[in-house]
Amino acid sequence: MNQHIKGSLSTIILKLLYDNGRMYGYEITQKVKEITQEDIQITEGALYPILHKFEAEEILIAETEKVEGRVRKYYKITPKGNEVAIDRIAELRAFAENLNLILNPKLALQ
Amino acid sequence: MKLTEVQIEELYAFTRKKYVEYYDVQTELVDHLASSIEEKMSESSNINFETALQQVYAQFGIFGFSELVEKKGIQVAIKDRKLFRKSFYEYFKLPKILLLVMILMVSYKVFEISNNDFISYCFYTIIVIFNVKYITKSIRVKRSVKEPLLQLENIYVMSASFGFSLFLIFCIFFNLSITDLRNYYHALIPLLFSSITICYLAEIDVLNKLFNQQKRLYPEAFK
Repeated sequence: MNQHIKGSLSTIILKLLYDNGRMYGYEITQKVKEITQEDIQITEGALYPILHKFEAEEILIAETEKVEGRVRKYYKITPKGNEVAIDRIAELRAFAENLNLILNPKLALQ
Repeated sequence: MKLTEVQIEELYAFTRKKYVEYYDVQTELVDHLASSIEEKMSESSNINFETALQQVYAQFGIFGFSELVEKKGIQVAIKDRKLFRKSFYEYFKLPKILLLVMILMVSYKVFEISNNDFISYCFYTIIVIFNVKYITKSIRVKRSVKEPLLQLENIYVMSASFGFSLFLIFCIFFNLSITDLRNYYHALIPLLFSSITICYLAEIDVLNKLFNQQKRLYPEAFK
């Protein structure tokens, strides 16, 4: 499963942030696990470079808050990032639909 | 089960032991480790803090934190360049373009009536002044930091002043004169002068932006 996720991981992260407002790294990994009933697990080594890349590209903005005695870094989508997120989610949705047609040719004939 | 303040400190020590020297990276890792350890300890009462920590660390793969730090370093450099480009282009939009036009007109008029020696000295002087001012400001920023921050690590090396200094050394080394440009196109000298000036102003803007941003994110890392 995870090898198919690689190319879509950044869009999955954007979709979660688009739906949930601000989130922190660990929360994102847990949310993906929860939604997919543990079918998809995002590794730390893959998650943080994507978050840092989006932060550098100003697609995400970070803010920190002291929670339970430690500093927590939250990420949220910037106005510029909102447009990117909408486009990328639409692209991934179209890709998933096309993939479904390829995997189930009978659906395409109906 | 929530971790204690002492355990959070142990996590900071653990990241340092694993060669993560920057506070901004440590902080994000500590929160991730702590959240994951808390969950493991809540799920099973048999597991202690140390065992949970080793299990969570193993999830970072064979390279541990080093790959993450390395990749963040690349993004930090990209962010610096992006901020610089943004600040630089602001001098081509209102209101800052008025300053650029003024620098361009004054330098054009002054260099038009100046001899080659004066022009060369002007260039050497501004490059030296901008460098000294930029280095002084960078040192002041670095001294205000209690804990090292990756985002502020390479503020001098990434700067345009550093690039112009190399250019100056190159010119001196190969006995080239900036005034040779006059032979090609008269306006090249004031154009170069104005470019150097707005590069310096833009990089000062970047330094201020980075300083304010990092202070907002990690106030405890500053004195």
